[in-house]
Amino acid sequence: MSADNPHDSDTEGAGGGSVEQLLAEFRASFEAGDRPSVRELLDRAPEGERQELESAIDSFLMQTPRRRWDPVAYESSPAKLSVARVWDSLEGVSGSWPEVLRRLRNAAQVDRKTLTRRLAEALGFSGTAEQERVHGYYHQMEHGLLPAEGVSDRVLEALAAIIDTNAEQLRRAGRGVLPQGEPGSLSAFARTAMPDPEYAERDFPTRAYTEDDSTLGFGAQSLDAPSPAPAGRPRRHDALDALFLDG
Amino acid sequence: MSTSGTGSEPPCKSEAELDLLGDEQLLAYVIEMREAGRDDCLRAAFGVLAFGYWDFVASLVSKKANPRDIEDLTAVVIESALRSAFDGKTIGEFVNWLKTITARRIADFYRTREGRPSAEPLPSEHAGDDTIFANEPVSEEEGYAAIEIREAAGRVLAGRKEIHQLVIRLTAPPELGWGEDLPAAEVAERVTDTHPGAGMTDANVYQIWKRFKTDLDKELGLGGS
Repeated sequence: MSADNPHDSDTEGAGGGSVEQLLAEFRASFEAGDRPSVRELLDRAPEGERQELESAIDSFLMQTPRRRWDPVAYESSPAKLSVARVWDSLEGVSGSWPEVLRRLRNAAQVDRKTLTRRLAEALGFSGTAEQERVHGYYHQMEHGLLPAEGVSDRVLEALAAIIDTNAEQLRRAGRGVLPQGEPGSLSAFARTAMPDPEYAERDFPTRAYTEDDSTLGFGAQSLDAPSPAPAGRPRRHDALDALFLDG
Repeated sequence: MSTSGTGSEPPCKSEAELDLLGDEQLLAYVIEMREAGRDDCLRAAFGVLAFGYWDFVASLVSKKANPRDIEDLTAVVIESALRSAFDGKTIGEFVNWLKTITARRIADFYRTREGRPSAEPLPSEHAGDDTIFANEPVSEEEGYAAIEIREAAGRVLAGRKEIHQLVIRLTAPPELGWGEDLPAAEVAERVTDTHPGAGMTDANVYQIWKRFKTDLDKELGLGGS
């Protein structure tokens, strides 16, 4: 098999090619970091040779070493976003919420400010200050900073209605259990490897956030801001706090 | 540049140093750092794994998935793999494990979508139109590696006593076909509910799983980790 020369024989038709040609094309494209579609290549192969091509591509992939570390390419890669999501989940106190909430929110195509306004209204809070506090609590949930056991069922039920899931799924995610394909979970769960900028947050500008949040599209956003309890202004633990802190 | 820990803590390795390690060494490093309480060392290892295997997974996904789902499904697989690495739940060679997770997640994805109303027609409604990609539930073509892993896991599991089997079933990743993938604390709680006198703790769960995984890796010819 002359996999090194993709143009050494006639093609099988418009856009087609022999197994050798198509494998060589895949190899060259993969090695260049272009993420070629295997399906597309299989469709271009002669019908009786697709299985052979699929096996050849599989074999190539299984034998190809891990891509070498490239710090520059990593900075703008979707891999970095995945690491950030997993990291927030593992390091935080909110179970899998950093992974699950961001995905479901983006799948529901709702930006964070709109979501938290609707959440506040569903919880019976219509004032701007209260909505900002709800926003602050939700922000902590998405970043693994709010202990999951403190968040009440009422909050989870209201939230679930907004992001098209159910409260039990959210409760389980808060305990670190990821959805495993139940209806209402994974198909939506898998829609947001690269969050749509339209649904990224652009409000509440405070100090510049860490590298991860900026790459996640949350703009100038602080881990600890907006704060549910503004510093320097002691405030009583009220009904809104209880919904997010007292379980 | 390595980051030194305090006292006798093992130092963190940089991405460049981790890049020189093979997969098994890299996964062993993740476990070693976790056991040493150096979770702060893990992010670099996750970066090397995620970056190193993103295109591999995307290629596997691109065989079965609708083009618009490839990026999202790849992220789901990579994040599952990172969690497996963190929890010490990767089984067998890492590339085979990724292949297994990939097949499983694609199947989950389309099975779940099937249960939800969709505004889009299924490919079968476009018979003869080659431009419509498979967007229907796919069969679990997980390949020989996954079958081998499942069979080996079944053999090793069968040799355990009943309460350990329960712990392993609750702890194991879903890719084994019977795992519930629960965190150790929840496993301990569930086992205590049914076996109140067992005194099951998170640490017990971890040890039972670790011994199972070591024996499973041996069964798969990897010699354990």
